[in-house]
This record gives sequence, structure tokens and C-alpha cells, in this order.
Amino acid sequence: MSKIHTILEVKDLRVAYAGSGERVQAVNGLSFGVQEGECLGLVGETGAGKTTVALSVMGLLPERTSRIESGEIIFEGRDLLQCKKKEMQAIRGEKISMIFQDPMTSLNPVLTIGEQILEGLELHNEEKKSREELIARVHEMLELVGIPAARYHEYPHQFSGGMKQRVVIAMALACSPKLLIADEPTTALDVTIQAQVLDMMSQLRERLGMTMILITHDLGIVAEKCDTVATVYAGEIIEFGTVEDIFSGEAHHPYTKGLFDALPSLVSTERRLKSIEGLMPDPTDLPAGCKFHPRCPRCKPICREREPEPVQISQSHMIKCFLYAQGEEEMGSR
Amino acid sequence: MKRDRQQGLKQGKFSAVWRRMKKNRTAMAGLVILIIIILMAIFADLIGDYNEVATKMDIANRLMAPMKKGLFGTDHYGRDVLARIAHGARVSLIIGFGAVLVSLVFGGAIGATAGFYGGRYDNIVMRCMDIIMAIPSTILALAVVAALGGGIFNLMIAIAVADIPNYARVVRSSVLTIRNADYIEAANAVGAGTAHVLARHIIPNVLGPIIVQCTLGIGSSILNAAGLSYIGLGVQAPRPEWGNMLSEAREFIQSAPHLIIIPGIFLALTVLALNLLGDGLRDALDPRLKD
Amino acid sequence: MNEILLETRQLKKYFQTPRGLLHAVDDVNLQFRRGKTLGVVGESGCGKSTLGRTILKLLEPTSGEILYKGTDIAGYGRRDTKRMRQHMQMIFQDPYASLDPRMTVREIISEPIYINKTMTDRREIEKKVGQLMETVGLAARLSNAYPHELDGGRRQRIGIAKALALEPEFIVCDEPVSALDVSIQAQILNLMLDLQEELGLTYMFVTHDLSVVKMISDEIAVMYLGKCVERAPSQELFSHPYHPYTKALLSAIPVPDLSCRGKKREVLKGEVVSPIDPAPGCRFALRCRHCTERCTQGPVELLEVAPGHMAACCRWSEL
Repeated sequence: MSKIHTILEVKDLRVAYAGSGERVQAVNGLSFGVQEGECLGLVGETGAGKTTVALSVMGLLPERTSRIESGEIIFEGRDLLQCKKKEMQAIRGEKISMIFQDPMTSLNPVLTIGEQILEGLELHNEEKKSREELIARVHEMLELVGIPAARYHEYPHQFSGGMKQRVVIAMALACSPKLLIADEPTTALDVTIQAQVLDMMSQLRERLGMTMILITHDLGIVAEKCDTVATVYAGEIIEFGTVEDIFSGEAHHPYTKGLFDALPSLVSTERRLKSIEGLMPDPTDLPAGCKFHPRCPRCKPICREREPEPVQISQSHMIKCFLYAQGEEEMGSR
Repeated sequence: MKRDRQQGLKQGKFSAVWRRMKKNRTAMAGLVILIIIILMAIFADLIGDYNEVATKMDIANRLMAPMKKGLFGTDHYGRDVLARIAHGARVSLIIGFGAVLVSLVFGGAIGATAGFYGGRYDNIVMRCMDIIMAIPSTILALAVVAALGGGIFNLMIAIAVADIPNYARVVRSSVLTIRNADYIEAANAVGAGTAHVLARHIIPNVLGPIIVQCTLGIGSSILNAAGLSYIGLGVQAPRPEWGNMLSEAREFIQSAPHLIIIPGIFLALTVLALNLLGDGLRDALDPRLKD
Repeated sequence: MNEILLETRQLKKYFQTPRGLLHAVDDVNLQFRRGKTLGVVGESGCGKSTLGRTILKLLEPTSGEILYKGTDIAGYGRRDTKRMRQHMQMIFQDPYASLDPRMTVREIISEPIYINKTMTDRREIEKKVGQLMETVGLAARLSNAYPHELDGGRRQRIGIAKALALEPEFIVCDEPVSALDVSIQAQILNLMLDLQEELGLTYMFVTHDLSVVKMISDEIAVMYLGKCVERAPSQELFSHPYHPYTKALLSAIPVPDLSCRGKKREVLKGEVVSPIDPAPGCRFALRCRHCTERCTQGPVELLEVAPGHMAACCRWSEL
């Protein structure tokens, strides 16, 4: 195995949004690392804080309403949270790119798709390449995502949803970023189109040797595309491991297990689903102790009082749950 | 017990709106100012009799500064400005509210039907509105006053006519967005008729923009009336009205600036109060912006 | 329990568009058995939602018959349609958009009762609303809440309670869970199954999510560009799909199971076009890799390829 190099490391990130008098605790001490060349899946339901994490890495959190309360985001040895605005602008798009969920709204309707891809290249044109060279690069990018270069001069409305998402991907990849964050890239697309786009993305990732963070709520996509998986609940990572750990391992966080059980299966003939009772906790008023305890079928008294520490089940597999804690002393010594 | 609860529910909506209003300080300030001005208009005769004070000339005491004679001084005929402001408030407020009511009723009906039914009817009606809009409102009002003759009521109509297209457009565009909302289809799916859909779903949801348009409209109607009075087509002397008070005072702008300033302040205060109140009302009526 | 509650025969719904005649629903024949669920699946633009709305007469059918207990309701006027609506209701896709933001939960649920005057006594209606809320699992204290104060799952429960208010027999469910999170989706699906058992409801379940449709349906119809291309009992369709489109659709679903990882799947080329003035022949021909000349010529009819299993592919026996 080649040397493993951690490209991005998020340490104890806490982000809060301050609304009208209310404080929404979106991310609560979340830590994870991404190795170079791998694909990390961030899984969780609406409001779990997945997108907030992505925006924090990109430095795109809304300035007026959000506040990063603590934490570090180390990318290539630098803490992105300490970077100045100018420095972040240079990193954004060039080293780290992001694809947003809705291809319909992430393209500017009055610019041709070629111009939009070109824009990013021009902004990060350190080598002072000529315009012709950059346009050639745009053509190359279009072909790469499976769009004929001849469509350079067409406008977004002339493309279908799947094609638009390809354009968005071409934009994100134009500067050959080291890290790509894809926030639900195929949620707005039909299944057959989703299959096309996902296949294309993993081919590109292999070819360009890119690292990717894939944010999704679809466990099927995770199983097919990711190397490591982090389950996010109420702004925390409650389980982290390789896909094998998560999909075939024995030990699981009760929430991860609940997520799997709630999925209608194509294989089983069961007509009732096991749903997770209750609702996502209100982020303005998170429960004490383990954030999942009010919905947890295996809740113990200690879960209501204390927040569980991460437990290392194996080298690669972490679960944040008292079920797997060996005992009080051991937990204290960790 | 049960009855109590039901009654509580009936009042619930209005009291909830009022509760939310009360929390909005600027809206309450607007409400207070407006009430004071309305009380002034109602009790104008107590402030100064119409014939004895507000319109009676007293050349000896002309152009007195505020506080020297009466609270706001006197004008070029020696008439008490405070009394004239109070009596003028009657006319101005009636014209303001009246004109808005007229244009809201007609413009709202036109806009709502155009937006709801769409198609050719929408096209024809809205083009007519465009034609009206293309005529400068003062000239249109002039034409109407010329055709109908003077008087407060005709002045009101004249101002309202020019305003109808504004209401029609606001209402139409809101109806258009709401007409395609899923909950309209949901209402159709349970068998709701046109009247029910309009009354229960569309009107409550277009109320917000309409209220804003109305509160802005009252202010601009008063200003329009003042404008018409200024060129001599509105309320005729010696009847006081804020607009003609301003127009009469223009000759004395240097010697007696209070004659311009005081009606101007009242006009500005009224418009401001209405806008504050309107914004507050819009927010209070929307259950989504809770407390 | 094989009684047919509702049936469509040669049902067509065309829309006039600037670019031509859009065949949104074209000659669709479906049978809805009492107390059962017919799932209708397909990608966006296949006409599945239009079909549901046409059956409920929210859209006027272009031609064809809609037989409800044997009577054709396709040609019904306003008054008769309104009467029919009491028996046929709809649950909408987006619980955020399908509830009037200015009405409280109580008002929303009681609205159908007031409109149709199925009850007149206020107190009785209140009681009914309370029962409905209990049935769908909404706490009574929420009756004065506004939709925006509730989460997606609770809102969809309101939508279901509203649909049940008139005690219908047939409910069109238009993607009722696609806007919800997995854990909430499971709650709502379970609720819908419970209600079906308790009240003997007949569902038409419109969705793009194949795993959901498999779980909830007894029978499934697959639609592509306005046509029904395959129809079979749920299990049968998933174990023996005949139509190439159904096969592609099934293979495109990402499966949350590592054993399927890396398995080569059939990725369909091209995109769904809209069925404006469609060419004769199979509408899937353009994207189908088994397409022959025969496919693009004559019309392709639904044929019984196995007992109770219909498919519209002229090469079904070879593939």
C-alpha cells in the first residue's frame, strides 16, 4: 500500500446559526479526515448538518448569521479557518470545488455554459495562459463530462437536468481541484440519469486521482461509490468506518441500524418497514447526553446524562455510543 | 367549558394578529400617530370652529409665528393654522382612504379575475390597464375632474382612477403565483368551487402585498389630492385641505416658513404612520412569521 | 377480493403545446382492485402524475373511459364530478406546498367536510377532525398549529387526514413520500398500509422510487412517455421484468448492499424526451439497445407474456 496521506482533516468543528433570537446548533464537535484519493460519504437526514460542514470547508457559510465557534479545518497543512478572504478565494475552485444539489439553480441563465466554465479558469489563471488555451481547456472539460464541445455556445435552458449537472461538474473540475465536495449531486435527477452521472463521476475521479466528499441521504449510492462512510446525526459523526464496516460489519450505532431498517428493500418481501420513532431533535434545543437517546430503542440511563465518547471498534471503525463502551474506567482513560 | 373553548378559537385568529401587532413597536408607533391624527380630524370643531376660527379672516393677526398666536401661528389671512390643520385632516384623510378604497375595489376585482381566469380576458383587461398607466396620473385626474366637476367626492374618484392599474397589477401577479400553488389544486381535489377557492385560499394569501400597496396608496393619494389642490383643481378655498394649505403658503415661504413646514410635517407623519402600520399588519397577518 | 373498483379504458390526455401535441397519457388501461394498491412508476415526464389527475378528473380526459364501479365518469359534468370526488381523493407530493400556509391544521382537515357539506353540525365536525387526527397519528394539541410549524412527516399526515375526511374508497397518492427523509418515509408508508387494512382503501401509488413501490404495491405499472410499457404483480415484475426499460430502471437503482458493488449495470444512454407528436412504434426505441426496425414501425401493444403479466415489447420472447 502506498503512503496514506490525509488531505483534509476537520477537528472538533462547531458551527451555530443565530436566527431571530434563536441559536441553531448545526454542527457540534464534528471531526473526520479524508485520505488522498478516497471517497468519503457523509450520510444523514435533512438538518443533520451535512451541508453546513461542506460550506465550512469551502468557507462559504453565510457571514452574517453563522459563527464557527471552534475547530480546525486542515487542508494541505493549513488551517482554512485562519485563512484570509483572499487566500480562501484562491483555494476555492482551484484546490477545493463544490457541486451543489440543484443543477437548475446553480447555473446562470444568461451566460452560455462555455462562458461559465471559462469564468472559473480565468479566475485561477496563475500561469497566465492565453484565452485560446483556456477555451481549449473548456472544450476538453465538456468532452470529459460527455457533452459535445460544439455545445459551448448554448445556454443552460437548452440542457436537460442531467446535462446541466454535467455542466456543473465540468465547472467544478475545470481547475483540476484536489478535493471535490458533491452535495447531493444526483438527488434532483431521475434514476436512469442518476446512474449515468454517478458512473461518469467515478470514472473521472479515477482518471484525475481526485479526493471526493459525497454528501447524500441515499445509502445505495454510498454502497456503490464510497470508500469510507460517516453517519451524521444532529451535527455529530456518530459512526465512521470503511464501507465494509458500515455495510457488513456487526457493530453499529442504533441510528445507522435504524436508517438501514427504514429503507424499503428490493430483496425482502416484508410489507412493514421498521421506522425510527420520533423526529430529528430541534437544533435550537438539543437533548442532553447522547443526541439520539430520545429516539433510541436501546437507550440506557447513562445515555440521558452523558455524551458518549467515540469508541474505536477496530482500526477503521468508530462508533459514538455507550453500547460499545467497555466500562467507565476505560472510557475515562481514553 | 366546551363553549368557552370554541369561542376562544373564534377569537383566536384576530387576537393572535393583534398579539403579534403589539409586539411590533414601529407598527404600534404608526398606529398611535394615526389615531392622534384621526382624533384631531374628528374633534376639529373643538380645536377651532370651522366658521369662527378656521376660515374667518383676521388681517390684524396675519402671518403670526407659532406660539405667538395659537399653537401653530396664523396664515396670511390671520386664520389659525392649528384649526385649519385639524379641519384639513378631515378632507385629506377622507380623500386618502376613499380613493384607495375605490381603486382597491375596482383594481382588486380586475386584477383578481384577470389573474384567476387568465387567457384572452386577462390580456384585454391588462392592456386597458396599461393604457391608463401610460397617461400621466395628474393629467388623467385633471381630465376626470374636468369631466365630473369639482368637489371632494369627484376629486377622490379622479385620484382613484389613476391608481386602479397599480392595484390590478399587484393583485394579478399575486393571484398568478398563488393560482398555481399545490394547495389550490388540493382544494379542487376535495371539490371546492371557484368562489370558495378565491375567498378561502387566494384572497388571504394576496392580502400581504395588497396591504402594503394600500398603505403606500393612501399616502400618495393624499399627496395627489394636495397636488391637484395646489394647481387649483382640488378642494376650493376657503375650505382648508393640507394640499391647498401648502399651495397657498408658497408665496410666504421666506417670511412665514411655518405655513409650509407644519402642513408638510402632518402630511409626512400621516404617510409614515400608514407605512409603518401597513408593514406591521402585513407581518402580523402572516402566520409564518410567528412572534 | 378481485372486485374491480376502478378501471381506465384507452384513457388519453393530450396537451396542446407551442411545439405540438403532447401525448402525456396515451391509451392507458389499468384496473384497480378494491382494497389493493396499484403502483405506477416512471421517470419525470412519463405522465404518471397526469394520469392520476386525469382519473380524479382534476384534468379533463381527452378521450377514453374511467369506469368507477362500472359507470363511466369521464364525461361527468361539474356537479357529478364534485359528487364523485367524495369517493376519490388525492394525497399530494409536496407536503410543504400542498397546504395553505394561512390555515390551521383543524381548518385544513375540516375543509373538505365544509365544502361537501357531508356534516353540518359544528360540534360533530370538530369531533370528526379529532378522530381523523388520531387516525393519522397527529397529537390533538396540534389542531391550532399552522403547517409551517410542523415537520414534513407531520404535514404529510395532515394531507392524509384531509384526504380521509370524506371517507373515500379510492386515493391517488402522488409521490407522497419522495419529499421526506428515510426514517419519516418509513413512518408514513407504514401509516398508509395500516389505513388501507383498516379502511379497505384502494390506492393508486404514483412514484419514481422503485423500492418504495415494490414495498407498498400489489401490482405495478411501469410508464414511459405516456404509455404503460409493463404491468405485473409486484413480486413478478421485480423477479422477471420483460420490458428493456423496466430492466434498465431496475438496474439503475443504487442498492445499499456491498455485494452489488462494482457489478456492471446497464446504464441507459440518452435522456427522456417529451412525447410531443411521437413517432409510431415503441416510444422507448430511441434509447433501447435491443431496438430493431420492427420496433419503430407499427404500434406496440401490451401483450400477456406470462399469467397476469403484460409487457409492451415486440421482442419480449427473444430477450
